[in-house]
Amino acid sequence: MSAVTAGQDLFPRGKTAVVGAATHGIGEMPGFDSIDLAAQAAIKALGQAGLTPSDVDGVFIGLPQDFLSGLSFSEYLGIRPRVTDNNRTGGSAFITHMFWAAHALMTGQCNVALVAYGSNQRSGAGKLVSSQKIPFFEAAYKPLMPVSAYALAASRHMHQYGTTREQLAEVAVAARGWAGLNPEAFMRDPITVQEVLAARMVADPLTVRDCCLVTDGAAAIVMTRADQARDLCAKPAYLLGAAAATHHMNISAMPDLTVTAAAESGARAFAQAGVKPAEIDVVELYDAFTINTILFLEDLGFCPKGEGGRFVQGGRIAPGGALPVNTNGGGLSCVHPGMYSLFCVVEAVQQLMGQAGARQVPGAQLALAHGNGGVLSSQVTAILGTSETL
Amino acid sequence: MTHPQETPGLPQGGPEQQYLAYLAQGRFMIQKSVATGAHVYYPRVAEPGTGAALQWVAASGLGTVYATSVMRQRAPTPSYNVALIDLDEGVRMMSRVEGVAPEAVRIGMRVKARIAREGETPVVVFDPLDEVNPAGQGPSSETAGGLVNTGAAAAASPAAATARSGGRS
Repeated sequence: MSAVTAGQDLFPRGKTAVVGAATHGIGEMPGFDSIDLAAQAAIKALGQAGLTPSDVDGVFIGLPQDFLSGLSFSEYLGIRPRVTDNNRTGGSAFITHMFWAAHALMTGQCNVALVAYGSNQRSGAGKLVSSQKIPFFEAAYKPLMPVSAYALAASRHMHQYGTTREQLAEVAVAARGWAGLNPEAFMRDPITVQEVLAARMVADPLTVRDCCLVTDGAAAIVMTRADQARDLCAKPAYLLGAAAATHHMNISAMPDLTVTAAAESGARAFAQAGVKPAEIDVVELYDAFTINTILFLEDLGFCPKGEGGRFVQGGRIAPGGALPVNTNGGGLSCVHPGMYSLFCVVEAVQQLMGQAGARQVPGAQLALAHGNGGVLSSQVTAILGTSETL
Repeated sequence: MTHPQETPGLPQGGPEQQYLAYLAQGRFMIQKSVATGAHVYYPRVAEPGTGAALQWVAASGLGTVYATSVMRQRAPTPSYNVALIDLDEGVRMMSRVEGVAPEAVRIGMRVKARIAREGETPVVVFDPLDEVNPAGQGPSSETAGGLVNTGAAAAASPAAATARSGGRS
């Protein structure tokens, strides 16, 4: 087919690691700008490794409405980076940042990589902030983006595989169950399937409880080469694999609304890590909507295509279930400040470091963090492990 | 390789302007690759994948609902349908189905295009093709059985098949 030969995947398995991971300002932080929140999260994450901003020479960030945030964030924190990356793939961007940070670290382009995000969109705007313009061929029909896109995907999954609204609701109930164990989570009161079904319908078949929160919040991680990590951190979380894939931007251009590019990013990340889905102890998926969790469980190989709805039934992904998924409470119940994937990573790292408190998955050694960007458009998977997995 | 007759009176401007100008003339036109013969929607300057040149051709206007939702509005604003329609030419577009309640639109329903106007702007919407049986449960429906297509999901989707095959037709 192609005139160009495919190269060998030489991802540096376990050669880089996360040595600090923090959140800040989850919920409501009136009076603070997005960059303030991101900076505070960064200082916390650096502090865990005994570092300060002046130690950083690689900056990876994408603030909601600052298209030069690689520069402004560096200036704010007094960093003079050798590497900056402002890559914008939507909410998945921060796992692409980890991917590039690993390469930059391994080729000596930087030594301390900081990945950060923050947004004040709950107290600032009061609704989801998106700078993405809807193109003319969709805008004419007044879709409510992004929820319309996920509603269309859910309609197709229900039609093709018999997935039910009750099964979608189970995803929200499980997330809320985990949130109840996380003192930082924004919505912690238990919720039932019936309450999810009876909530205000936004875009059929999704009610407001099938949709993520709009909160303030910030997250940051610090990455170094593995040989440095052991000196900076008692239990580094090693990056075993990271891969990205995208098949479309607009939902009307998505080839099959029941199959995301996570099937491709996940397969490559698992191959790099040399592990299988059944070996993963804790799974953090970008759950902007309940259908996301079902699609990603399928596409990442935790269950066969079409079985996601049945898979999540009976509390399987809830606290006490067979597979711990979205253990912080997810975008549905913990935090969703516009772009969420870095919170997946922070939770995965805290689980591997054994710092997750009441929601700790005992003995977690392998974690998966999966980011989604756009409208099921950008898919990025990272697999992390403790030193036992190297 | 087929070369459909060039449409006379090609509007000036870029692809979006040309598409809208055709609609303003009452013509629903889509694009077709001169290299592969595959149809293309939305309007662009080249065929995705090959980069080949495109020409405008009349759309049949016939299609099938691929996915559907209802945008719920607070009363008294009426809720409305948003759907993805697979045109018989093998391309998919966002639109809405009118003429039935927004929640009565069904996946698999056969529909036909109509050019509506919203203020100054012409917009392609769809009506159920089988007006005797507007719920789409008639024999023309692709998926009267409900749980179908599980094994051949991608193959059953014309747009997906087009995307993967490079659009050869």
